[in-house]
Amino acid sequence: MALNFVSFEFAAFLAVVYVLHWSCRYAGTRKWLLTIASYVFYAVWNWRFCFLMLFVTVNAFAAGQMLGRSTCRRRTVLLAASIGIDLAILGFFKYYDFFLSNVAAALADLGVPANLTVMRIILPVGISFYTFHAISYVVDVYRGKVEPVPSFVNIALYISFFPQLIAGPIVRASFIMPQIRQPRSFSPAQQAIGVRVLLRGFIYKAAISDTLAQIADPVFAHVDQYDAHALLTATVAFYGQIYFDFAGYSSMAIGTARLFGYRFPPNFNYPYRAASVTEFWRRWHMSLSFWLRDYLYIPLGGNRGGALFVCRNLMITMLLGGLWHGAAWNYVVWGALHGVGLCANKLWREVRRRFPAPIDMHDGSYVAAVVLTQLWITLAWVFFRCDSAAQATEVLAAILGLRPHPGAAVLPVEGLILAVIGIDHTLGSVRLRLSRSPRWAGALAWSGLGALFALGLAAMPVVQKPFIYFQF
Amino acid sequence: MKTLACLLLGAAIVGLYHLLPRTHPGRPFRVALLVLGGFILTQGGLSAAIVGLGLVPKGPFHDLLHELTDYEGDWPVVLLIGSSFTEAGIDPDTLAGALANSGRAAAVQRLAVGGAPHLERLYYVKDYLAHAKRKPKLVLFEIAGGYDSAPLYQVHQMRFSDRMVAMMDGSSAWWALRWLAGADRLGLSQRFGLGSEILSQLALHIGHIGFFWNSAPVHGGATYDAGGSPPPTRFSDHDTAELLEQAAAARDLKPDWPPEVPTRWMGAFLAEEIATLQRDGVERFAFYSVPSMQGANAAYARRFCAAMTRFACINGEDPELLIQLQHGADWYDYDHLKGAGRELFTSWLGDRLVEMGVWP
Repeated sequence: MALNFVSFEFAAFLAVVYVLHWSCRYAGTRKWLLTIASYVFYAVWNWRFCFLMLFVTVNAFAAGQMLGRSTCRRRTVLLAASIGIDLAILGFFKYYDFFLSNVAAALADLGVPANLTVMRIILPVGISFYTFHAISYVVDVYRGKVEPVPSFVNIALYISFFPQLIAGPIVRASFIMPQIRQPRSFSPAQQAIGVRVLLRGFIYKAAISDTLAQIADPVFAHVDQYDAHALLTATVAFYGQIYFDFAGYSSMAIGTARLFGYRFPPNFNYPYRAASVTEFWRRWHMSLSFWLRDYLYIPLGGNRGGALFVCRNLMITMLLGGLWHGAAWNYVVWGALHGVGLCANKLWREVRRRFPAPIDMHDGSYVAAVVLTQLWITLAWVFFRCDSAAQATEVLAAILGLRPHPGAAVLPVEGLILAVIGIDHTLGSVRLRLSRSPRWAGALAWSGLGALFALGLAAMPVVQKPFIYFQF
Repeated sequence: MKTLACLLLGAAIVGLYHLLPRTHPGRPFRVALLVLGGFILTQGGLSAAIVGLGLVPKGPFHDLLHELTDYEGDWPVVLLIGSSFTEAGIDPDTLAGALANSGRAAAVQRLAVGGAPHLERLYYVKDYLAHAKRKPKLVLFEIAGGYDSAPLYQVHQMRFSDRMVAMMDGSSAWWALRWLAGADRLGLSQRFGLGSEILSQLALHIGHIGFFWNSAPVHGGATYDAGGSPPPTRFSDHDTAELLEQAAAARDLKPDWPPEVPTRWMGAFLAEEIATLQRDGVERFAFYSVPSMQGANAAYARRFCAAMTRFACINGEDPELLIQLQHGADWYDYDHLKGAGRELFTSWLGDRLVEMGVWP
């Protein structure tokens, strides 16, 4: 089990590394310290896979060095080779068993005898994230957005930096490398932001996400034993859980990095406000969606060409995005549903462009768009959460009343869950900035943070669940 | 309902977080003090709320406390404090019957849970005294070599469990660290490891971490699944007789137990426990041991009773009693009685209490 951010062990680890980091006088020493600490962080899960991460780092470093010295034609070959190695590693560890079991099933359906042995390969924690970091660096060097990094520790720190190692955010090389090159300085303002963002993540995860998990997990573990209303409640609970879990994790990662003087880009921007699937992906897991956009969607052709060509690109991107989340068909369906949502939005905008509405859109249609979008997102989450596409179909059929589904009931709290999300999304944009305010405002702000931390600790369930995105 | 309450609290926390003013930090030291102050004040408020609402940690002791503190009858209360030895070996109703037969009726209460170290027992004794509608007249303490000689063994075995975090308040931590400081035969790394565990659990306890989830009103019903018991050991009558004979003949304690019985730590701890009970009006105390087929336990009970001059001490290793316990069916395992064995020992204990004038 990887070190959970909401754990006593992580708090102790963070405290030790923080003190050591700011005690170091030289920037180079600090970078080595953070790199070693990150490898220790990873080794807590499984030390053997540190070598795999090191290999990915060496591959990226070597490719960057060679790209910096190579001619035009050779550069493309180098780029392809480096990305190929990363994808081969990712493919082997994440998709080999999935591929093999599907081939075996297909051959069995065709009546062809095949003796294909599934290897039950251990999925290295965070592999999806650190391989994408490595690819980001090599592509950015290739595109000239980043200078090849002459110092190995810089690239090692970029790929292994523990706040983003296990579940992102996927920080671009072009974004973080300038920060890694420049010495970090201790600034009270930065530290204050770090603490505040870290605390926000803690509250999301400990006080809300894990509470919602108490509703969703038992139902999804035994779908056949619950009635349709319970399945609806659990679906709404998961809709909230995954947001507070992943946004909480991202917030903690961003806050932790800020404590060491590094600024990460935001990863969430109140996604359940989105009025279209396109907008949703500009607000949800932004580091992944922008990565997919820049490194996959645009190279595929992006928005160039006709509507069908664009939809093809969107579908390929989202299918691969779904598969990136997990080697299972339900993730592929989840990606496909989002792809369909994106295409529908693209086509709708095209229609609106050609046939403008005779009157201005009013608030009612915006609300309708938000509701429709969120229903679509919720439908997709069912596939994301269920163990299989068949189970997801069972849940949806029951919720929609297409199939009778007798069973146990749970407390119908979906209204309250939506209210919690609503409070977060509404008040999140309220900013009481009191930089020139009286002293009491500062006292209230900082003592309030301490008070909320105390309340969050008391409200968190005793058994802490790992972050959902740790499995990817 | 707990989910609902926690969800509401979570919503309030998130809402308040967003509404907090964003100010530029001034001097870092002042900011840190303010954050710490807010944290400590809230913790104080939570402690007051927990006391006010009568919340206790959920767990096996909670179920017991709920039942025991409710007694409002006319009979005086006899309280047994112990571990699984008492839980398995003494039936409160049989003991009450034995006392009633002698014309000295009592309500017998058993505050005993499997694996409960002394620290946990004292923690819940305090809770019991705070909530009991009728305070005990007589308190009987279990003697057990394992618990007395290695008081942190179970604490370490159950480290970071709900039970250990729940009982690790300042007093428990103080006694644990005091034992650690005076313990012989412990290496530096063991001391450091155990000390870290104690302090960490103290931090988790003081921080009320997860308390809203893991608590219940002391007078409210709650069920706690303590997990299954290990399967019983099957003894033949012949083996039982032989094992009891060997135990009776044994003189040595386990090699890792200190030779001093009771240890200085144990003596001080018992004095504290007795003083706590005396403050609540308890006047009579006694000690007892439950029979065991393990020689070290029998030897420990003998030494303890020999050393105990202040209060009555009833050693379960009575030759006449042991002769009657020579049936395999009387024993759950080497240390725990069951069935007829339990009834027999309980009646015998009742008779001794009357005979020795412990329950006049």
